[in-house]
Amino acid sequence: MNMQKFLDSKHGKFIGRVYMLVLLFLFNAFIPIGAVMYYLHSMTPLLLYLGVAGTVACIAVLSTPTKIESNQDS
Amino acid sequence: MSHESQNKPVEVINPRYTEQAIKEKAYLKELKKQPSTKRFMGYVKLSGPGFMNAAFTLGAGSFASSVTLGAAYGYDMLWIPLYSFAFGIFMLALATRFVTGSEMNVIEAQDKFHGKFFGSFATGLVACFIASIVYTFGQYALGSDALTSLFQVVGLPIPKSISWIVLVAISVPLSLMYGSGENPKAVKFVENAMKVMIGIMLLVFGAVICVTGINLPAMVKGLLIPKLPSGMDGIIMLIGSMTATIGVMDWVLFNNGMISRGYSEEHETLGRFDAFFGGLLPVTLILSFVSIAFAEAFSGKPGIPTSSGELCDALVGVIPSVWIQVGFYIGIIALVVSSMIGLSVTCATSFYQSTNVKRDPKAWYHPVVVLAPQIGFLGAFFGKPVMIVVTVAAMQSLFNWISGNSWYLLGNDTRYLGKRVIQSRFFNAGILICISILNIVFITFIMSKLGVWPE
Repeated sequence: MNMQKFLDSKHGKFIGRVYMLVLLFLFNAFIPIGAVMYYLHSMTPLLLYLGVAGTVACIAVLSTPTKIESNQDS
Repeated sequence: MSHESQNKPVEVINPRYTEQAIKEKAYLKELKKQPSTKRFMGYVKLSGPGFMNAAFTLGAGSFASSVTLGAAYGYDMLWIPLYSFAFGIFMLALATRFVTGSEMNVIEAQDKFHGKFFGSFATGLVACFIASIVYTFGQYALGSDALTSLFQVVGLPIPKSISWIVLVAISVPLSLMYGSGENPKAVKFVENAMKVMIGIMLLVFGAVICVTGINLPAMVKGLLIPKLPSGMDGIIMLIGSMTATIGVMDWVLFNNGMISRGYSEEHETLGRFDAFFGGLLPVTLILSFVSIAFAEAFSGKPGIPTSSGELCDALVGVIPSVWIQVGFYIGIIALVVSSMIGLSVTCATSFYQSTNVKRDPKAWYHPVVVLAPQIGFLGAFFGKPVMIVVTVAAMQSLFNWISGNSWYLLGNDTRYLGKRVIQSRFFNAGILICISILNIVFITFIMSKLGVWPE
């Protein structure tokens, strides 16, 4: 599916960008939670790495610009 | 409102249609055809809202965090103000796009496209209006302290309970002049006053580091290469410092500064220029100077100074001249006053944009709204009301990311910006990095309140 089309069209109540922003927030949350697990409790750094990788991926997707004619009805 | 109907409030003209704004627009059109040096000088002449923003950012909060980081970590944390403002600059560029791409103000647009919770409530009332009142307490606490110390240097024993009046005398007239927004000359005058205050800060803190000395290689390394502070306390300090230089109040102030100046589609390059040269550059320089001064004065010593007296005492060992001490206090006062003006302006504009109250500079309530943050004079007597500040900081960290997400969506929404919608992947990525920082700040704050992360 075309990424820009997914981001700027409605899926249920919201456009794709809103869902991706929620996902970005979740991955952002993994970063400090993972840091606490790793640095304070000497647990696996997996959550921290997942948070960083997910954040980068979400930013890459969300940075896709809107196509000027396609956002009129969203 | 019966009072309004009796007095017939004046219709405020959109500043972008004033004679001066139209002239400026034509001048900018011509300026684009000029060689780069002439263009640069032309933009310097017209800059203003960026300096307002810098003056606002350079307040008690950012000053205290720079002192703390300098005293605790030496040159290593100099990158924080530079990087945090550099990411924040994407939000300022977005604010510029909103002003130049649409006549609808951003809070109104948030209300219309995302709901009143995101616009009037989150951005307007909580993150700007209430916060601007609460944060003034800290400015008065530090400012009156610096004034009392200054008076003592020249042999006048004037207590804090009196010295705060000087802060009122300077900040109130300038706040009212800028807050009315109806007179472009008055707006320009205040912007020039802000430039002078920033000049004073640069001069004074620059002179201080001339005396304390500077380790140039360490400075360059500290500025450019990010290094995380050790331990949880350091991480918390890092997050606190980053939020002191980046936040929704800064974006709204910059946005409204441009509206007051009548920015329209020809002004976008000027807005970006202003955000960099008027905002990023002075903020980074001044906060770096402060950090360096305390890195030199405090290196290896236990404890971190908090009051302006303690700050100066810490420097007295390395600053022999009484004039430098006087200058140091004047620098703090300039820093505090400029922030107080910014807080008053933010308070008024966010109030009008979030409520249905008409913005009428001639109305009886207008000075009350503009000067509402002046209640912070109580800070001179009681210091910062810690619990209120903590509560508002918590609410602000929550609403910072809510507003950030809403602004990103507006920047990508053709219903608001039409063809001026963001078309650059780089621009969007910068905004999203900024939002991620705000998200992480909020989550960390919640974790510290839950006891998961040490406070």
